[in-house]
Amino acid sequence: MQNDHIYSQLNEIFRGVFEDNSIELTPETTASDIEGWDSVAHVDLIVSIETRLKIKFKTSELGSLHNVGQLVGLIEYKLENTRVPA
Amino acid sequence: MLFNSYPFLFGFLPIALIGYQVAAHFHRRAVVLWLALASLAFYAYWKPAFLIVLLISIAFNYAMASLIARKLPNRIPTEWLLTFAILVDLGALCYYKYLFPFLNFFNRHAHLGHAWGAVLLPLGISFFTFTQIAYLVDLQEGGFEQHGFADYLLFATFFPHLIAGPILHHAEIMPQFQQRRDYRLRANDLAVGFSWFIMGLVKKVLLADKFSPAADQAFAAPHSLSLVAAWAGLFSYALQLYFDFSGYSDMALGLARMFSIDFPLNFSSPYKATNVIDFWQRWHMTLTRYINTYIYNPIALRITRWRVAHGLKSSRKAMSTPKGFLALVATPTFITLFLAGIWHGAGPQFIVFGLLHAVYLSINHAWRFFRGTKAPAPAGTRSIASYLGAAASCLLTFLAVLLAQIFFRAAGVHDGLAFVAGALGLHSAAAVAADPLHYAPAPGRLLSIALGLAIVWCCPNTQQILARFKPALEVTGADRKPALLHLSWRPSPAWALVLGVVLFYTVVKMQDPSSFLYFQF
Repeated sequence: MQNDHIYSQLNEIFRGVFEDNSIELTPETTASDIEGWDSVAHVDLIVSIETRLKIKFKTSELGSLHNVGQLVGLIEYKLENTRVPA
Repeated sequence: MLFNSYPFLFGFLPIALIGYQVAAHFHRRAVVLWLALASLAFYAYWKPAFLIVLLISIAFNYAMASLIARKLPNRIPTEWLLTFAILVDLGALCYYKYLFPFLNFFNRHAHLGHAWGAVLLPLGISFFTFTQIAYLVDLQEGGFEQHGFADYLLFATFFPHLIAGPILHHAEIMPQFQQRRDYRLRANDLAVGFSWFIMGLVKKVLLADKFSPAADQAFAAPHSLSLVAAWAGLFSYALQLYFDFSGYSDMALGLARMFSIDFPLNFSSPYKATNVIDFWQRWHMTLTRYINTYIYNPIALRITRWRVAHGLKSSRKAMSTPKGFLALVATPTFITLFLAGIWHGAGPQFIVFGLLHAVYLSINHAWRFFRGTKAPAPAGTRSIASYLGAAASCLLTFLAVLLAQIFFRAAGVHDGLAFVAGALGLHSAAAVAADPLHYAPAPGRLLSIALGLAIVWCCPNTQQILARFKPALEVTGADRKPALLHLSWRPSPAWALVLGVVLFYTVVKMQDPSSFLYFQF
């Protein structure tokens, strides 16, 4: 898979944020699959991804994400199209 | 027009369905136009003058969208256009919803002796205002093309959601209006949608409306409630609100489904929640999603990014320190819930309601940091202790929710506090005796409360009953857990017979249709 690289980085970020080394992300993973993925953890997660991958999300982009597959799609798109300076 | 009224059931709905079927023979545009016009008629039936408010709002927001998308050529920065549009939208909302209550409140407390009167609230104004603001925010940030006017008109007015939600997001609905498909009615969707609608109607007419007199009575005289009367009144209100809003949501999703449109879920057995975070993920889910996306996230992200840029951490560990907790959790939570409280109404009691929930959520998050989140043991391996623990958590959550609901329903903070005193048995015997009506509720009333709570806690919700037919856009984690009782709908003669009989009985009982509680928001 072309986005394997994103998945592996994301997996690492998720494990760090949720302090759970058993997390294995799939495109179908949703917030209800991961214990503790609430609104507070979500913001921590988003900023961790932004810092690590040097991208920045918009309000509207975060509103329409339903699973990890869509998040990866968005990250892929952002990595290709926009890079903000660190 | 109310979903639970004869003109809707026997006039509007059949005409809307037949017109849809006829329009589907022509073109997608005919379908969209028909549904939009029908929705406008639905709205105008209540008070034709307010149709003008709705149409002005839609025309204004669509024009602003065209300016932002540069479909109407201009050079004004899009941020300015967006800010102007939001200010006008919120200004109109404030005028209709808050100005006169505020002036009268000020008047009462400053003894000015001037009666300001009031203005009638156009139904659904906060819902159609919110939906359109989100559309503009998303459009300004880019990522999609502005839609044609007919599609936009239908998105904003589609009658199943127009008055009280669910609050739709354009990204989940517009593609359904724009699909190239056969738009004629589908037997399967009609069957699922109509069955869902009947279940909602039953909740409203046979349950919610049955609990409302007891709730009204208790909240009308909060200063003379005995302990039992206060609790009976409080449970009655909790059940009324639950069945009213849940019934409304079932009807809304069922109606949309009749036209093969899937809505997002709005309700997922909230009283089964085992903590307050969980409660908000199950109660008025589309409002939670909305305030999360457009209020909580922007505030929390701004604070978190600022901290990260200044070398501070955003991790769980950082949130466990008092300073980190205050900045990363408590501040965005309190601002968000304060606004959510005000959204529900103009009185200070709604602020108390919002702030109580902010306190609950902050405590809940703090608990998670210090205790950690534990995944529940897989079904079958759980011990009795863990079931008891879950039941205790559920009960504690329910009590917290009930306390906040006192202020949600009371006429003011003073009345709310008096109600709390009643529920704690603090009213003097003399005060209680002066009002014998509230002294002891009839045994029948207590029995119906027990029955209502049994339905809430033991029965599957309607999306679980309809689970085989993918009733909504998404299944929630909560709905995957089976309820104590199992029920599964299928398009069979038995189900048709049962629902038909229930519908007949409900329609006979539906003589004096009452409004839905969430219409006032």
